[in-house]
Amino acid sequence: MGLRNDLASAAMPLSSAGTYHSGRTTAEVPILEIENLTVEFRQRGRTVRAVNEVSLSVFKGETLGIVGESGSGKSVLCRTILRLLPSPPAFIQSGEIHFAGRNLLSLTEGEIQSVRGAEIAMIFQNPMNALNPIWPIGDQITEGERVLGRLRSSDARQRATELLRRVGIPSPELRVDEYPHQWSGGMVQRAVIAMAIAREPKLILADEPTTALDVTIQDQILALLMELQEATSTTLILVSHDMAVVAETCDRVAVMYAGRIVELARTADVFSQPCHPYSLGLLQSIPRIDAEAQSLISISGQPPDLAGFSPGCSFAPRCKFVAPECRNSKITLREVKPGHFSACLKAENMVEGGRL
Amino acid sequence: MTSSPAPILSIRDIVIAFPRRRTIGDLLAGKQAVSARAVDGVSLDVFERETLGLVGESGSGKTTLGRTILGLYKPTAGDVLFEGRSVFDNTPDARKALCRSLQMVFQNPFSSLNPRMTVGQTIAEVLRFHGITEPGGIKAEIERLLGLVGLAPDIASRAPRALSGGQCQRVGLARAMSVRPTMLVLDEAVSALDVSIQAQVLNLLMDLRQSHGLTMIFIAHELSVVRHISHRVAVMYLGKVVETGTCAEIFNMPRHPYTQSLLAAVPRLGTAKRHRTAVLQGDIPSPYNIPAGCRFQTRCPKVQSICRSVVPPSQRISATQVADCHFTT
Repeated sequence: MGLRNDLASAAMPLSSAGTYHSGRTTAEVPILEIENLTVEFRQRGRTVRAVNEVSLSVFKGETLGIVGESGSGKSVLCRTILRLLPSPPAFIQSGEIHFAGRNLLSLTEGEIQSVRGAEIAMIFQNPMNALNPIWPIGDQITEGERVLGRLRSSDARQRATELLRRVGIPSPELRVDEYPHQWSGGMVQRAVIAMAIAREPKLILADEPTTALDVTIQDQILALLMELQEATSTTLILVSHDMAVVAETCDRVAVMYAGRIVELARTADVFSQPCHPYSLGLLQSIPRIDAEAQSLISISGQPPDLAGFSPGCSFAPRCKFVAPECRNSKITLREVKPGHFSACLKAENMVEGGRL
Repeated sequence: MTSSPAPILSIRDIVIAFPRRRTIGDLLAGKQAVSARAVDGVSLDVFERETLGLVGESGSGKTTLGRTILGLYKPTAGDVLFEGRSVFDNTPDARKALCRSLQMVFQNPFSSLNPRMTVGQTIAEVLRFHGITEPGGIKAEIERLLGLVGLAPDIASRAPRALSGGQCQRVGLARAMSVRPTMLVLDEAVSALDVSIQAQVLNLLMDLRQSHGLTMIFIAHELSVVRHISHRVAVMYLGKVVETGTCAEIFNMPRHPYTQSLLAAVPRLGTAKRHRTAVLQGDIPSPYNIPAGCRFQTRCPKVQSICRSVVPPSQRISATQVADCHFTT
């Protein structure tokens, strides 16, 4: 109990520390600022750079999409924010993550524990793996609050029922004592969302929240997430491999490739006028539901092996527009149009011509 | 694309039921054995050189139906005829002949290859078993097959763990093509792949279909992929085909409320951030407990009282489009 009380008292003052950047005049107040973050995995003498010099600001109340293929570093980036990766093998090589006036990467384990769930919550991909199969769902939803002594056990069931009703579970008072295997994937994902919103976090990280679900259930879960976000003006980071999901739900998009953000802009701008050949390639390789079949323009080659760092652009070996300087110049994400960032040396040509 | 006179594959009122094992408790309580009707009375014809897309959500029975077409499940009722012969004829000669013409590509590219065999051994096994090439010509044939699916010849000496998902899926395809089949059943063959790799494999499939005159059944949950590759589409829900039609009919003029809802639920690239209201409420019902009347009545936005008691008849909309609904207008 001693530890629990310590955690609870540590959590109290922090939850009121949300005055970061309050003096800014612009409407876009960053709630989370990632600066120059590099994360490596080291195992058996092999080093893989999963996140490579990523800088990113997330504004209060927005939905930011992070898209990329497997191995692009989007999940690692998300998990690093909450320091969920075990070290070893994961090492944060450089960088800072500022949230509510603190650098999350320099907090002690006890301090970061008080951020998790209370200020930043996470929704995981596979809902069935996110819950413990041997405990009732209701108990798991309120576990965070009970452990911190914020909720008496006698009130916990009532609280869990309320939260389940909030996320649209029918007759929650009857279902609160059921176990995860008795629920469908979509319902369990609702329970996981209930768990995430239980402590009214300022930021929710949703890592592929609908990937394991059928399309009609995905539709329900996205509608629920957007409704909750609007009602509580929470900031949401949505990680997805599905460009169409991001197009319909996010205000801004960061496209990741080989550990780097290669393009960052307002959603409509990325989809109508991509300024990086990888984003363009992705868009051209997706079959369209709303158009007759036409030949897909695929991106040739394979995603790169992240173990060998090269100074130049990681996409160069697969890029149709590659120039000699792409292979050895230092690549940085830079603003090529107001609010539109690209890591392509040739981005200006794309901006002007629409296409390279 | 349905102009050929006789179908190459004919599925006739097929029913596949999986009985649930009764526990001792169930036996003592005198409970009746229950079974899940994963596929419940499906009839479909597939014509030569066409690609039939089979779509549906998890639990709709599309994978079970796909496997049944290869004779991998024993049917509870009904029959599947491939080139006029039943696929459930289990004599060794009949099985072998069926495998020479009808092949399957599975969803998970890694688990469908033997991890202890190299790619070359995997393909050589098939070539030897069916006696397709002279023993001396096996190496050359493997190289030809790998080239066919866009892989370098040196892949033959590698184990599956040394390959990427896209490469493994190409090996699975090379293995299926090694018997020179006339028809392929592809069960979620591109679902596990990233979009840039998925596009490569889709383009490859369309090239192979063209060059080898293949007939295909393409099973997938992703509607955009199905639209891209199929000539005709069958939509499944809870063990039944609820609507069939040409690709254009299904995607432009869907007549069954389930098809309409399914299409409306798919996120689209062209749309901006929008206020969402979910198209369908609730989940697909359990196949152990199929609703009376229309199976979609528990979630249907257009449900009427007749739907709760009367099984909807198949309504012919056009020469090629059929929808099982009381209200198809």
